[in-house]
Amino acid sequence: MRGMVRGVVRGAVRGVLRGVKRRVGGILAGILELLREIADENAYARHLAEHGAAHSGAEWRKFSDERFRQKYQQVKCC
Amino acid sequence: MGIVKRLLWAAVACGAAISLGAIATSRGEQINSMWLVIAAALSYMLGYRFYAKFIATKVMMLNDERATPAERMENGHDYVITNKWIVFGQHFAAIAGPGPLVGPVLAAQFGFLPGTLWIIIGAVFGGAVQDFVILFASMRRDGKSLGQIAREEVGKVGGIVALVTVLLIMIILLAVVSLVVVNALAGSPWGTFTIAATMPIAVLMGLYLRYWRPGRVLEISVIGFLLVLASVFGGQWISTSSLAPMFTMSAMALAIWIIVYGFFASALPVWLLLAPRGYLSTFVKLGVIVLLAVGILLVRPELQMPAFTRFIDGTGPVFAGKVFPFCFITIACGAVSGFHSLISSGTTPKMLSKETHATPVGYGCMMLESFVAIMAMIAACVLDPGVYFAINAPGGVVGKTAETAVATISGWGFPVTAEQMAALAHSVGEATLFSRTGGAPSFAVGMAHIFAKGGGGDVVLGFWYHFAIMFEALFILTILDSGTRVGRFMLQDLLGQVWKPLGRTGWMPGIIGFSAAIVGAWGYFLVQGVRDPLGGVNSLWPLFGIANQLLAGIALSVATTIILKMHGAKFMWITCGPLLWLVVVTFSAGWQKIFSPIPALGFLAQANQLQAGLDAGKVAGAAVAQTQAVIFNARLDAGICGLFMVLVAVVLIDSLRIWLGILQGTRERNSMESPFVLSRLSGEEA
Repeated sequence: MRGMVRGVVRGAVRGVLRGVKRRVGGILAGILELLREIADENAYARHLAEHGAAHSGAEWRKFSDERFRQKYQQVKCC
Repeated sequence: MGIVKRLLWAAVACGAAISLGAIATSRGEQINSMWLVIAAALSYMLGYRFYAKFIATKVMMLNDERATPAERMENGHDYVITNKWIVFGQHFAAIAGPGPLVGPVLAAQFGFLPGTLWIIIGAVFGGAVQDFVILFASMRRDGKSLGQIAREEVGKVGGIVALVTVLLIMIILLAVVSLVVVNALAGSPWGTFTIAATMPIAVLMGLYLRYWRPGRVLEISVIGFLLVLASVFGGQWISTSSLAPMFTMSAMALAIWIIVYGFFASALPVWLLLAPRGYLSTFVKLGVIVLLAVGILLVRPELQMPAFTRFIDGTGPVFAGKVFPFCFITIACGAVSGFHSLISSGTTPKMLSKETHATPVGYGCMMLESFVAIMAMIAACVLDPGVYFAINAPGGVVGKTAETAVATISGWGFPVTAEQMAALAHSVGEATLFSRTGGAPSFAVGMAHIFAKGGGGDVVLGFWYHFAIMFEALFILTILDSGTRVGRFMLQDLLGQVWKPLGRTGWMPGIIGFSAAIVGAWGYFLVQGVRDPLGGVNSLWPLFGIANQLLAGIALSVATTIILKMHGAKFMWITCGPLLWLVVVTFSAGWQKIFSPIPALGFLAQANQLQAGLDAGKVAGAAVAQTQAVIFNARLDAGICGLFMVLVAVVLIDSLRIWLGILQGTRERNSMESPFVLSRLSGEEA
């Protein structure tokens, strides 16, 4: 009986931990995605995919020149 | 809504009412900062769940079946379908600057209550509504800017006035934020070294990204952040070494350095300095905001500042003017900020994949910024009031020596001693903390106290103080050089309509000439602020606040016009209410700043008093030229304040004319919304 209760509790705890792990993992992945977006790394990946180009120094410079030109024409708030 | 949900929301409403009641009725006893946090968080939840939802469904009628500009006009550059939380992060990074940190710290001179209530109520019913409606308006108009929307919906005059107002506000904004940096770094070798070190670090990052490891932005940002941390540590060593005199600068010397820096930073290629520092400052900003929130939740400090101080009568040393209207223009970002309307009609509407995402991004981001302002208010109010006033009151008000300052401040009923201030200055690694006006040093002391209580004690106070100063200065400098660039583009845009070649943004003589013109304009006001005997913050921050809130007036009148065209008078109150409040606040504040007979408050009274002193021969020698300059500047400030008010009055009258026409049926409700296109994304998760 005690073993069964222990098993049920252990199973429940494991389930909760798995859920927490999945959720924490999801949050961390979301944060990393946000950081990559703010860092323009995702935008660069989209640029490469759109132009069918491979990553190179010249390609990054082409992308970043256009990206920065647009970005720094926008106001930032106080 | 099910019964459980109803009960939950009823509990949230009760919690908000109880916590707001607790902070509103506390008198004479200390209250815990958690009351402010809970009151704000629950009010935002209610505002978001009910008011934002009401606006989204009944007024805007957001429809996910309707394709957004990001979907219809996707080009991979500015029109890009983007995940809503990423748009949220980018929008928040663009709207949150030093304003929500500095404004509440300055307004704490009235006590914690007026500013806190304004931050919460202003954001829920004013600021978030403005950001949300303008975002919606721009999204339904192909992502057009506020100026373009104003031109189409209100008229040509509104569009041009909006452009001129934005340019003028930008100049005052850049001056006042650079003054905050100057006041924080003057006489501080530790702080000056740390900030100076961020420039070669940014250049190194720029070269790394451009040539050595192209595209590795996160990687170099981590390296840059570690180097900045090292410079904060290194600054302590510098401040006690033989190099200290090199980094110990007067306010005027720092102002000149910042002006020279501003010119070069705005004229240099963006990839070299501006972009890498922009990345670094965004990451540090987001990180510190999270850290501060965690720190406050862990430490739960008691507020030392009373609910109200005696200075609600207008005799405050930080800035002159009564709690009404000056509390409401001192805190702009954090409650209502007109500047946000430029971002809500900038890149953000071009990235939303679904119309309903405008609610979390437009309304929700403002809630978060308002929460940052609450945290800044807490950081200021956990200080002993005597210490707060010793840091924030200018020498021209409390006296230039420690003895006179503590005697004056203690005489106001806020006891503080010279020994207490000396010990505090020593513990944060500064020579003195008296009259370090501008808000940044007192915010840094408050933040350092919270972090130090979280772990490390007094040993780490100096590190956290300088970390906070670095954090504020870093993104202020980013605003300075990107703002100068944007100002140059705006000026070229305006003058290019007179003579086409002047509008060419890649023309080198134009880059140099227009950069110099913009830097010269804000630099002039910066020098004026440094020379001001009452501390430049006293004149420049209210001027900036008035201008920013007047821009909010323009945005809200455009928003009202749009709502009127959609529904008639039925929902006008949503934007008309905050508009009316802002008109009353800004015009009465502007009127007092120009015409008040009190010299500490009214620009003209200050000029007249100084002129009378000159005429009576009370000023002699080198002080004559300086006094003449202060007189000229006070009259110039009066002129600029008057100009802002006239410009906004023009837009308001123009809008009123259109509203009356619509309400009387003599004008058609011709809204300029883009035609409906069915979305292919409506069933998808995003």
